[in-house]
Amino acid sequence: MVSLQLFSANSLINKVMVIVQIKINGKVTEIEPSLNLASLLETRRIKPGAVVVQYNGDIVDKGLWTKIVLQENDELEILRFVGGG
Amino acid sequence: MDILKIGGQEIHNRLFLGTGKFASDALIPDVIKASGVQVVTVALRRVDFENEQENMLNYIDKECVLMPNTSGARTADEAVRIARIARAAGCGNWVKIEVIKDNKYLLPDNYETLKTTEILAREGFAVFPYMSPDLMVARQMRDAGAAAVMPLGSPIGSNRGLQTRELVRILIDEIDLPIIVDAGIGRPSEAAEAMEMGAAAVLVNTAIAVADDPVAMAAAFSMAVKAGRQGYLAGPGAAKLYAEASSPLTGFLRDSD
Repeated sequence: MVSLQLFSANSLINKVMVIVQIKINGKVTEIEPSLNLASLLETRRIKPGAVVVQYNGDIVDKGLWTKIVLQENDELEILRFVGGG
Repeated sequence: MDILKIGGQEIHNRLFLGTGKFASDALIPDVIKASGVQVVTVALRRVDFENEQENMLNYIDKECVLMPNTSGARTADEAVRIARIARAAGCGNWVKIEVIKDNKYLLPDNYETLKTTEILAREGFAVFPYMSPDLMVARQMRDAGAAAVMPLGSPIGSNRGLQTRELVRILIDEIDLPIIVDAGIGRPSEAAEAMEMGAAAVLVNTAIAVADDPVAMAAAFSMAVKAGRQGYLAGPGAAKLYAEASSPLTGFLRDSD
């Protein structure tokens, strides 16, 4: 029994390891590991010209998006300009 | 040439345009063209992943001066954060401060707005605080380094015109900064009235956006603002209680009484 429990716990850890949890626009989101910012936006069908991205509090230039590999607990704000008075 | 020098820019058109509530954002280039506006406001929001939308900036002529607003902010901290993001995103250094906690009348929180103004003016922003027309707070805004103050005419989006005219008049009289009437102006005649009173500019959004023909309404507002401004510069004569004949009171074609 004991060994079985240990085995379960290990497999759970393994499972957790392959998912990265980040925060996108204030919402905890699970993404695959080693995903860079540019690829993330692509999978979400976001046009690079349409948004402003804040990565852990700093605005990141579009040119750097492929270089940022998202890590556990990273925080992203993906913003855009809309009509307003 | 009557130029409004403000926030490091020279503004020729004293109608400022808000870009919210248009039935289609694709109307905005024509609205800008028809009215000749130079100053245009935008807002910053989180992307909605379910609805793909165009970046508003793509609809705004590159010659325009952008005035991002801090709408959605309920505190000075939130407003400061929005302003910094907008500037980092390449929108220039103008910002309209809008800090609102009241959901019914959308009246600005003058205290949080003043705190925001102090912080952002120190950081080199051209700060345009949207405020309830209070003389003492307007003085503090000026002392904090605001580029202008923007009192409301009536609640945002209400199209009720210049209900605050007496308080706005006092600001125009007492504050040596441009006074820009923002919010509530519903018709071109009301924009003209604000300009005749000596407002430096007016910011109009809803009245244009919800008109049957927003492009034609934008042109009408632009003309009204120009007419009002010219009337102010020309110096209106004094109002009188009784009539004063315009035609000579001598040489009538009748026998003398």
